[in-house]
Amino acid sequence: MEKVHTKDLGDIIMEIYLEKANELVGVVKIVGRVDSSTESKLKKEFMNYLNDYKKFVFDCSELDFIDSSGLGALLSCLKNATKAQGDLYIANLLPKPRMLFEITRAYKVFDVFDDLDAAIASFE
Amino acid sequence: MKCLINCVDVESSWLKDVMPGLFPHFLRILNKPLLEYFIDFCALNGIADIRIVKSDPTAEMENYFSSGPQKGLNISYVMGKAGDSLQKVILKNSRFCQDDDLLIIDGFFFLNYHKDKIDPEYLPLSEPASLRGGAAEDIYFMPRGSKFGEIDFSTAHRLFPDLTISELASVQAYYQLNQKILTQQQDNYFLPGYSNKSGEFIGKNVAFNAHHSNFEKPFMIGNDVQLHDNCQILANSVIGNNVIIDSATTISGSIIYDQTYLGSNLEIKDKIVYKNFLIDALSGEYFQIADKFFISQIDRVLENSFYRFIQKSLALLALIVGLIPYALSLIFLPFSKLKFSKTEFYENSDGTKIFLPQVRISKSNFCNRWFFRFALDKYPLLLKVLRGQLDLVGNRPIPANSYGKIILEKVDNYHPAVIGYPEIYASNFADNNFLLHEIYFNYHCSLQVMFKTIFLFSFNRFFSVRRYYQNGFFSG
Repeated sequence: MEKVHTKDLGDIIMEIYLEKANELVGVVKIVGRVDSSTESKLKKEFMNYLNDYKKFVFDCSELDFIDSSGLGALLSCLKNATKAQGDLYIANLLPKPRMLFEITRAYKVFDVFDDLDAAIASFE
Repeated sequence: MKCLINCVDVESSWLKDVMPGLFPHFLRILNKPLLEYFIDFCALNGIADIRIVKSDPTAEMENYFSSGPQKGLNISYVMGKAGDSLQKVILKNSRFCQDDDLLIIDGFFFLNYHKDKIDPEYLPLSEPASLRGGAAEDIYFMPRGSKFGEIDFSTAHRLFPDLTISELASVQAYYQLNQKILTQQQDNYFLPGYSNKSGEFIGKNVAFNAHHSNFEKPFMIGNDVQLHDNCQILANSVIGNNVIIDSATTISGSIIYDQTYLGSNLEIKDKIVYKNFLIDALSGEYFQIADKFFISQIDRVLENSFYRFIQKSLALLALIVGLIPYALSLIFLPFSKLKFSKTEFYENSDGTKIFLPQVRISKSNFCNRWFFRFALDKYPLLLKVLRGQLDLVGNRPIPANSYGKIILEKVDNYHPAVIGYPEIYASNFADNNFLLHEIYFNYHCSLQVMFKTIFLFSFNRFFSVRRYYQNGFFSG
């Protein structure tokens, strides 16, 4: 996959990478934590990514921690993607963040995939 | 006949990780501490004199079991030392052990028995016997007059031929044991709660809306539980004591520990919830929930709103009264050589950190002594009480460093405060009694103790500056 844009958000708490899966799908890799201190940066950065893509897969294979603010940020990203006639899938959730998705029933809102390639393929 | 239960030196690293602060023998098996199953077993075998050797310095165990009169038992407690061999434990309790037949329960395990099938005439035996579990789980029987070190238990008879030991070696083993008892062995043990129908155990003072709640057997609910509208308690769920479950939340196949709040619209399936730890019962993976409105621990007295209101009122009063002296002290700052800084401390037991303003008194001179007498070094912290970030009286804030982390693990129910209870004894982190003072406060916290602490703190600060100086409170 071609890395088209890298954004280090200035601290070690969270990093976001936009990677190009194909012409249609942008893969956003989230590294670190998504909580109240980083959620606004994620939302802001995602709005920039929307200029390039409409369909996204969030690769959460290195997302260590997420709280309610983080879930809210993901929901905001999903809302903005669907508003732009696109969609947003989640892939590669680690066991700990997955537990939060389970208890809050967030998996009913998001399409959660075990595998990144499967998530990308499901857009085609 | 007597029984010695050794609860010291328990090997249970999984428990330390996923349920920090829980004394291993207080691990709940269907809302009942593991230790209580041992005590029931002793009672069923006609043993009335029980000694528990424990490592937990708090009075939690004594408060829970007392001295055992309600079960017709005589329970005594002694502190043990980690690392002691069983032989040494028996020697240390030789007066208790020497003059009668002795059953010894040693280790962290579950004993599978059926209350109706225990023969009360089985004990005492005429010869030594043992029931060996895994690496560190054993039960021994020693006839009167025999010495533990002189018996070869490897060739001894098997004790209780019909009984088996279940190891509690992992989260999964613990969870499966709970499920097995709830689904198949309810009649084997004395279980807490009223039970009109098979598979339903409901404690005292359980409030729920019968028209908007759904229950599926088997389940167990402890005492003082509130279930809000549209809650579902599905099969194989165990809800502890003093639990609040908010509306439209579904629990299935899960264990919810005492003192827990579960937010609304959650789905807890095959999980164990302890404080704010969410533990996957099938994989053993755990996750600390940061949002209190999802999952949190209901604290006992410290969270009480009236208690907090009193604390905030007193803090506001102190802020008003101390305003002029503190302003004057700032005027004399160049002469006093006070050092103002911000240091990172732990905000709560979860390891969340907070920066607190610190005034360091590096030198004992006239100005500084009066500054210290009036406790003006605490003045900047009072605002944090109004914001709800600190208590007025509680634990001394623990610095967020590697040493502090060790202390944090030992102070259960940690609440940092402007006035730390150990300070009335001029006790600081280097003091051996520091931790005992902290733990004592957490288990005896009340309005009376709070006022007493404020009075003693003010009195000692004003009249015993020299004592604080000697104990290192004036430092650079």
